Amino acid sequence: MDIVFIFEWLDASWLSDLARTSAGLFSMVQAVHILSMIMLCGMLILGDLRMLNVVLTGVPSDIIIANTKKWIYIALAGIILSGIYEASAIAMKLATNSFFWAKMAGLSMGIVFMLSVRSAIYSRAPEVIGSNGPQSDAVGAWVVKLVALANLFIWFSVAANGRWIGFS
Amino acid sequence: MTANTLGKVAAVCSIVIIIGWGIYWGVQVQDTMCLLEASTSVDFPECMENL
Repeated sequence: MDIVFIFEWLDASWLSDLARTSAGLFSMVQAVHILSMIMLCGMLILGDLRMLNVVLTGVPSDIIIANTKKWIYIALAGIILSGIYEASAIAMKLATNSFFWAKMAGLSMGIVFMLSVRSAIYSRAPEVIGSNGPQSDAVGAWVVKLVALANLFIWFSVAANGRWIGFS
Repeated sequence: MTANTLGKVAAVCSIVIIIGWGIYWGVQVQDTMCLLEASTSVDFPECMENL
Protein backbone atom coordinates (compact mmCIF):
# COMPACT_ATOMS: atom_id res chain seq x y z
CA MET A 1 0.00 0.00 0.00
CA ASP A 2 1.41 3.36 -1.05
CA ILE A 3 1.10 5.85 1.79
CA VAL A 4 3.54 8.44 0.47
CA PHE A 5 0.57 10.75 -0.16
CA ILE A 6 0.23 11.13 3.64
CA PHE A 7 3.80 12.41 3.83
CA GLU A 8 3.21 14.69 0.82
CA TRP A 9 0.14 16.10 2.53
CA LEU A 10 2.06 16.58 5.79
CA ASP A 11 4.98 18.18 3.92
CA ALA A 12 2.66 20.75 2.31
CA SER A 13 0.68 21.49 5.50
CA TRP A 14 0.80 24.65 7.66
CA LEU A 15 2.28 22.48 10.43
CA SER A 16 5.31 21.81 8.23
CA ASP A 17 5.73 25.55 7.51
CA LEU A 18 5.54 26.29 11.23
CA ALA A 19 8.09 23.59 12.08
CA ARG A 20 10.53 24.83 9.44
CA THR A 21 10.29 28.51 10.29
CA SER A 22 10.12 28.40 14.10
CA ALA A 23 13.45 27.02 15.30
CA GLY A 24 12.72 27.96 18.93
CA LEU A 25 9.35 26.22 18.98
CA PHE A 26 10.80 23.19 17.18
CA SER A 27 13.52 22.74 19.80
CA MET A 28 10.97 22.99 22.61
CA VAL A 29 8.71 20.40 20.95
CA GLN A 30 11.78 18.21 20.47
CA ALA A 31 12.42 18.49 24.22
CA VAL A 32 8.81 17.46 24.91
CA HIS A 33 9.27 14.46 22.57
CA ILE A 34 12.43 13.32 24.36
CA LEU A 35 11.00 13.91 27.85
CA SER A 36 7.83 11.99 26.92
CA MET A 37 9.99 9.11 25.67
CA ILE A 38 11.97 9.18 28.92
CA MET A 39 8.75 9.14 30.96
CA LEU A 40 7.26 6.29 28.90
CA CYS A 41 10.39 4.14 29.04
CA GLY A 42 10.89 4.99 32.72
CA MET A 43 7.39 3.84 33.64
CA LEU A 44 7.66 0.70 31.50
CA ILE A 45 11.12 -0.16 32.82
CA LEU A 46 9.88 0.30 36.40
CA GLY A 47 7.04 -2.18 35.84
CA ASP A 48 9.17 -4.65 33.88
CA LEU A 49 12.07 -4.63 36.34
CA ARG A 50 9.57 -5.11 39.16
CA MET A 51 8.26 -8.20 37.37
CA LEU A 52 11.83 -9.43 36.94
CA ASN A 53 12.19 -9.03 40.74
CA VAL A 54 14.98 -6.47 40.35
CA VAL A 55 13.49 -3.28 41.84
CA LEU A 56 10.90 -2.46 44.52
CA THR A 57 10.47 -6.12 45.37
CA GLY A 58 8.74 -5.20 48.65
CA VAL A 59 5.92 -3.38 46.85
CA PRO A 60 3.02 -5.44 45.40
CA SER A 61 3.29 -5.41 41.60
CA ASP A 62 -0.34 -4.45 41.00
CA ILE A 63 0.23 -1.17 42.88
CA ILE A 64 3.20 -0.31 40.62
CA ILE A 65 1.38 -1.30 37.42
CA ALA A 66 -1.77 0.64 38.41
CA ASN A 67 0.20 3.77 39.32
CA THR A 68 2.33 3.82 36.17
CA LYS A 69 -0.56 3.19 33.73
CA LYS A 70 -1.84 6.79 33.67
CA TRP A 71 1.65 8.20 33.06
CA ILE A 72 2.26 5.71 30.27
CA TYR A 73 -0.83 7.00 28.43
CA ILE A 74 0.14 10.66 29.04
CA ALA A 75 3.66 9.96 27.75
CA LEU A 76 2.30 8.15 24.68
CA ALA A 77 0.07 11.13 23.86
CA GLY A 78 3.06 13.48 24.25
CA ILE A 79 5.26 11.29 22.04
CA ILE A 80 2.70 10.95 19.24
CA LEU A 81 1.62 14.63 19.16
CA SER A 82 5.17 16.04 19.35
CA GLY A 83 6.34 13.34 16.93
CA ILE A 84 3.83 14.40 14.25
CA TYR A 85 5.01 18.01 14.60
CA GLU A 86 8.68 16.99 14.34
CA ALA A 87 8.01 14.66 11.40
CA SER A 88 6.22 17.40 9.47
CA ALA A 89 9.49 19.33 9.10
CA ILE A 90 11.21 16.46 7.25
CA ALA A 91 8.19 14.45 6.08
CA MET A 92 9.48 13.52 2.60
CA LYS A 93 12.86 12.45 4.02
CA LEU A 94 11.18 10.21 6.59
CA ALA A 95 8.99 8.54 3.96
CA THR A 96 12.04 6.64 2.68
CA ASN A 97 13.99 6.35 5.93
CA SER A 98 14.36 2.73 7.11
CA PHE A 99 15.05 3.75 10.72
CA PHE A 100 11.82 5.76 10.80
CA TRP A 101 9.81 2.76 9.60
CA ALA A 102 11.61 0.50 12.07
CA LYS A 103 10.70 2.94 14.83
CA MET A 104 7.05 3.08 13.72
CA ALA A 105 6.90 -0.73 13.53
CA GLY A 106 8.43 -1.00 17.02
CA LEU A 107 6.12 1.67 18.41
CA SER A 108 3.02 -0.03 16.99
CA MET A 109 4.17 -3.43 18.21
CA GLY A 110 5.06 -2.01 21.64
CA ILE A 111 1.64 -0.38 22.09
CA VAL A 112 -0.26 -3.52 21.01
CA PHE A 113 1.95 -5.78 23.14
CA MET A 114 1.65 -3.49 26.17
CA LEU A 115 -2.16 -3.18 25.98
CA SER A 116 -2.81 -6.85 25.28
CA VAL A 117 -0.19 -9.39 26.41
CA ARG A 118 1.71 -7.35 29.04
CA SER A 119 -1.45 -6.04 30.68
CA ALA A 120 -3.13 -9.47 30.77
CA ILE A 121 -0.08 -11.33 32.07
CA TYR A 122 0.95 -8.77 34.71
CA SER A 123 -2.53 -8.79 36.23
CA ARG A 124 -2.13 -12.57 36.67
CA ALA A 125 1.37 -12.52 38.16
CA PRO A 126 1.91 -15.33 40.68
CA GLU A 127 2.46 -14.66 44.38
CA VAL A 128 6.18 -15.39 44.09
CA ILE A 129 6.59 -12.37 41.79
CA GLY A 130 3.70 -10.01 42.39
CA SER A 131 3.33 -10.25 46.20
CA ASN A 132 -0.37 -9.53 45.60
CA GLY A 133 -1.67 -12.49 47.59
CA PRO A 134 -2.61 -15.95 46.27
CA GLN A 135 -4.36 -15.92 42.86
CA SER A 136 -6.45 -18.73 41.41
CA ASP A 137 -5.72 -17.73 37.78
CA ALA A 138 -2.00 -16.99 38.10
CA VAL A 139 0.32 -17.69 35.16
CA GLY A 140 3.81 -19.16 35.46
CA ALA A 141 6.58 -16.95 36.84
CA TRP A 142 8.75 -17.65 33.78
CA VAL A 143 5.98 -16.34 31.47
CA VAL A 144 5.83 -13.06 33.40
CA LYS A 145 9.62 -12.68 33.16
CA LEU A 146 9.63 -13.54 29.45
CA VAL A 147 6.96 -10.91 28.76
CA ALA A 148 8.98 -8.34 30.76
CA LEU A 149 12.11 -9.09 28.71
CA ALA A 150 10.21 -8.88 25.40
CA ASN A 151 8.66 -5.56 26.42
CA LEU A 152 12.02 -4.10 27.48
CA PHE A 153 13.54 -5.21 24.17
CA ILE A 154 10.77 -3.64 22.07
CA TRP A 155 10.99 -0.24 23.78
CA PHE A 156 14.78 -0.19 23.79
CA SER A 157 14.70 -0.72 20.02
CA VAL A 158 12.12 2.07 19.59
CA ALA A 159 14.32 4.53 21.49
CA ALA A 160 17.46 3.49 19.61
CA ASN A 161 15.78 3.71 16.20
CA GLY A 162 14.49 7.18 17.09
CA ARG A 163 18.03 8.30 17.74
CA TRP A 164 19.35 6.62 14.60
CA ILE A 165 16.94 8.52 12.34
CA GLY A 166 19.38 11.38 12.82
CA PHE A 167 22.28 9.34 11.39
CA SER A 168 20.74 8.96 7.94
CA MET B 1 -9.31 -17.92 28.18
CA THR B 2 -7.74 -19.92 31.00
CA ALA B 3 -4.54 -18.79 32.69
CA ASN B 4 -2.73 -21.79 31.24
CA THR B 5 -3.74 -20.94 27.64
CA LEU B 6 -3.04 -17.25 28.17
CA GLY B 7 0.40 -18.09 29.51
CA LYS B 8 1.19 -20.21 26.46
CA VAL B 9 -0.02 -17.51 24.03
CA ALA B 10 2.00 -14.85 25.85
CA ALA B 11 5.10 -17.03 25.88
CA VAL B 12 4.85 -17.72 22.13
CA CYS B 13 4.26 -14.00 21.38
CA SER B 14 7.27 -13.01 23.52
CA ILE B 15 9.59 -15.58 21.94
CA VAL B 16 8.48 -14.63 18.40
CA ILE B 17 9.06 -10.93 19.19
CA ILE B 18 12.47 -11.48 20.80
CA ILE B 19 13.74 -13.69 17.95
CA GLY B 20 11.90 -12.12 14.97
CA TRP B 21 12.31 -8.52 15.97
CA GLY B 22 15.86 -9.29 17.09
CA ILE B 23 16.80 -10.49 13.60
CA TYR B 24 15.12 -7.52 11.90
CA TRP B 25 16.60 -5.06 14.35
CA GLY B 26 20.03 -6.66 14.01
CA VAL B 27 19.99 -5.61 10.35
CA GLN B 28 19.16 -2.07 11.46
CA VAL B 29 22.13 -2.10 13.83
CA GLN B 30 24.39 -3.26 10.97
CA ASP B 31 23.11 -0.41 8.78
CA THR B 32 23.77 2.06 11.58
CA MET B 33 27.31 0.81 12.05
CA CYS B 34 27.84 1.15 8.29
CA LEU B 35 26.55 4.73 8.27
CA LEU B 36 28.79 5.58 11.22
CA GLU B 37 31.76 4.06 9.41
CA ALA B 38 30.91 6.03 6.27
CA SER B 39 30.71 9.27 8.24
CA THR B 40 34.14 8.81 9.81
CA SER B 41 36.00 7.11 6.95
CA VAL B 42 37.68 8.82 3.98
CA ASP B 43 37.07 5.80 1.73
CA PHE B 44 33.64 4.61 0.63
CA PRO B 45 32.86 1.54 2.81
CA GLU B 46 31.80 -1.66 1.02
CA CYS B 47 28.78 -2.05 3.27
CA MET B 48 27.23 1.13 1.80
CA GLU B 49 26.58 -0.75 -1.45
CA ASN B 50 24.13 -3.03 0.40
CA LEU B 51 22.20 -0.26 2.13
